[in-house]
Amino acid sequence: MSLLEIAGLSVQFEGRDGTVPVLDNIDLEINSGDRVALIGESGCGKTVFGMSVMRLLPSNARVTGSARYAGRDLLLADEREMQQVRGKKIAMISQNSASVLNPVLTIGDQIAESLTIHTSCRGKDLHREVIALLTSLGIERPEENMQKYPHQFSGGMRERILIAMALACNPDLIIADEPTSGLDALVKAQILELLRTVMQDRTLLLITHDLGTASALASHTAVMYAGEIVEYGPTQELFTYPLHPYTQGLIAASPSAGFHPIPGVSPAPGQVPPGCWFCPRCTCATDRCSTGHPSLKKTGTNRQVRCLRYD
Amino acid sequence: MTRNAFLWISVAILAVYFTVALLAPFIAPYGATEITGSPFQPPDSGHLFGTNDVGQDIFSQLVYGSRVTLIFGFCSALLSVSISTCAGIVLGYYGGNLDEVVCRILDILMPIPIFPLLIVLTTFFNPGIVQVSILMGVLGSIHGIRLIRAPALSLAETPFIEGARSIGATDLRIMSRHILPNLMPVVTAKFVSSSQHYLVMGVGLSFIGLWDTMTVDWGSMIQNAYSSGALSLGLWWWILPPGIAVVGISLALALAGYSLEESFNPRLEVNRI
Amino acid sequence: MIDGHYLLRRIGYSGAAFVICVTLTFFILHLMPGDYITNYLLSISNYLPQEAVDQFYQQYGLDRPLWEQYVIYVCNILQGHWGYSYQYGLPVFPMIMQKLTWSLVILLPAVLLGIAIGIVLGAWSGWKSGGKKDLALFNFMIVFRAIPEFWWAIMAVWVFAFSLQWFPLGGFTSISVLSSGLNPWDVLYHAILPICLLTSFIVAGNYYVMRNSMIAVIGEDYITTARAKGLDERAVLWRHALKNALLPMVTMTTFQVAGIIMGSVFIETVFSWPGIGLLTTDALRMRDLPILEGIFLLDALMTIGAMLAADILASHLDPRIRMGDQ
Ligand SMILES: Nc1ncnc2c1ncn2[C@@H]1O[C@H](COP(=O)(O)OP(=O)(O)O)[C@@H](O)[C@H]1O
Ligand code: SF4
Ligand SMILES: [Mg+2]
Repeated sequence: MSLLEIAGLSVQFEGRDGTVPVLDNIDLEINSGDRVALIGESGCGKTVFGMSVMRLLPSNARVTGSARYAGRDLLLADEREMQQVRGKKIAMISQNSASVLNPVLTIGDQIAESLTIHTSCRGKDLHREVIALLTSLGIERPEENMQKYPHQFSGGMRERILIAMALACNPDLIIADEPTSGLDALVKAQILELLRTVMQDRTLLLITHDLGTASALASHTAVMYAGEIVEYGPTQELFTYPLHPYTQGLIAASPSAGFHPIPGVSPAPGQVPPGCWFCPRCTCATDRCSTGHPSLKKTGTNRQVRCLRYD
Repeated sequence: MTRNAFLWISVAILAVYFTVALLAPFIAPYGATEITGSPFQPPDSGHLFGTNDVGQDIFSQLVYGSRVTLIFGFCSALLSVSISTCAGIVLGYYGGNLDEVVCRILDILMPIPIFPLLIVLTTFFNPGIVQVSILMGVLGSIHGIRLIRAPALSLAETPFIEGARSIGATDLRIMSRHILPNLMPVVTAKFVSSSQHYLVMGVGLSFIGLWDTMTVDWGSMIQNAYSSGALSLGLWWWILPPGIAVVGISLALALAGYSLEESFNPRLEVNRI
Repeated sequence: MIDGHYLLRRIGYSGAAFVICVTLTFFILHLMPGDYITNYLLSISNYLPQEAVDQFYQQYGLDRPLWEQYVIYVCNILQGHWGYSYQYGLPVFPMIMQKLTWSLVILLPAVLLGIAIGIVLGAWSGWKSGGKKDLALFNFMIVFRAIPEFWWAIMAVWVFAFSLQWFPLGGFTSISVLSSGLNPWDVLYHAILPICLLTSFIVAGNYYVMRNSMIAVIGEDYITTARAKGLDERAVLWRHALKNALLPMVTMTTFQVAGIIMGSVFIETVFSWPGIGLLTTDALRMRDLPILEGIFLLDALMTIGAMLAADILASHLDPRIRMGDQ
């Protein structure tokens, strides 16, 4: 059953010199129990995508399309309605753990806050609940640690705290934005393991530029390039037989495959070339690639790809 | 109206003030302290803004007074910003022990109140306007050093400065050709806001009697008029012109400073992600 | 809980700042042509009784080496012997203290009101930044601050005291009630206009800092996190934004307030309010150096003390400074 169905989602930012398109016509369906990874280079629009679903984009963002959650289009919901969704139905683990926690509140307070807003849990129960959450996320001495402030924790611990905050109200969907970036290898492995356990029977939208994280956690993977989805499929298959040249490039660029970076840089928002957006960097490009913009096409039973080679 | 329009309007206003100060002898019909009419004459064709209690021409006093006021405001601001900029760049560029020690010293000096210190020093030395401006500039620079040091520090760490160093540019050259131009927006904005601040302060100091009684400037004109009861006697032409002159230039500088700051340092009025 | 090291260092800095101030005043007095005592005695009468001179030399150790004089001077300062006014022949310290009391009558309410109103307006404006009302208020404050304080005061006297006659023209009490002693209501009546003006200057100063601070805070990631939890705007403001935005205010406000002690010079001069400010103007006109030095020392003491208190308070409020980085 589809839990979140995103159709034709586009985002533009209004700036001093006109509007810049950042996301273009995104279609993505997340079923209950799916763990979908959204991968792509930095700056391609992954965070903006997550934020647009949460309706947390700044006021200069223009969002069109639809994001149906439980039959309701979130993009049409009013602020009050969204407040009931955020944290309770859809929770977020924001990127950059160093700055997303409030420096002047104890982490106990910050975890308890979600519970206070969305549940009737108070007093001793609340305290117990927070302790239980911290314990389940492998934070030792929870009684003592919940009195501490964010800066007193390491990056890995802060990530655990963020996960605890997201899990607090037992939401239907969790959007995790770069949960493993900026961590050293050992800690990253621990967090991955932890995420694998706690996300076992949950629905997850995992946003990452790290293919390892995606392949370790996700059941499905969507590849984003310059604000559009270029390939989608079950993670296992997609990583074994990547169809799109960009996906192939990403895999070849990952450290485990020998680190062969894709030449060139992705286009700045609003400055995409005509034809296929990946064309200037594509090793398989042909003449028609620079004129016709490919659409996202189904291939096989459950794969989608945006490339003229598969037309 | 755009910020740019504000900037140009204030530049135009400032140009008028400067012209008046420069060409004072050609603009003013009389000398600043010359007695040219009977006391308390209301404005007429001979005395554009009337006369004061001893029959001096207020318009001429206003024109000559602009010199003292502008010299104090702009000289002290220029000096203070120059010192802050040099010190800030050197500290930010070299860093290390020197930076550490100077920052400690600045920490110590920071709470020492400049305004009464300036009053004490001027009472002691009894100096002229230029000397007081220098004093003010030196004392005031203490507060500006950090403002320049912080961006200089981050600039010194950028790859492009590393690059300049690797091709053998001397320290002096890097500081003057690479770091300084990049700091110009901050420095300019600081200069404009300091000028406004010091100019108003200069008029204020003069209002409470810092200069000797022979010095004619807007502050002493206002003080003279106010304490002689210009308000209660209804002699508006005596007190309003110097006051409006100060307000005008101060507003122009404030607007310029504000539009500079906004254009160099555009603060998106939205949340970022 | 405060990091002891940090506290000690701040106290050390404050001590050093004060020593620098005292040293400055010592050398300025010392460098005066002629010696201080002779200058002083000559300023009150042109006859110099030798016993008096001797007694003063004794007391101030003027015949001793320079460093001993310095030590004596510092001891005298610490004990409240701040020298004698040229103009009145009276000891400076009690005189300044008496004037300070009068200044506090208008400063205290103005500071309290000004900080409160400034912070509320600034927080509101920053929270709504970019909106029409915010911009209107912001532009108004720019214009307000660009006009010199003494000019506002003169205009206020003209409009409210002279034209409308709502308030007295100046002074601290009416002549008519002076015979029956000071009447608090009468003093208040005289104080209202100066207090209002001082308050609005403090409001304008704090408004800026608070608005900037708030704008910086609402761009922070943790504010988005708070929204992502499902908090409503009011809770985001009160629980997450306000405390963070107030932190830098502690130091900035102190700085502002330390400055207003001298800002009151203009108000007191325009309103002939018998406080430190008017004393400054008087002493400046008369070139009464000991009083001016005393005022400088007093202001230095107050500023240094206030900054120290602000540092301690800020470090107490901000867990990042309080705990040190671990
Ligand atoms: N508030 C904003 N205004 C204008 N452009 C923005 C804004 N937020 C993000 N962008 C742009 O959107 C693009 C995608 O950003 P983001 O989603 O953060 O990338 P990532 O895939 O690394 O998460 C970037 O080019 C960024 O510059
Ligand atoms: S459409 Fe052409 S340019 Fe684009 S990815 Fe496919 S082959 Fe490469
Ligand atoms: Mg991102």
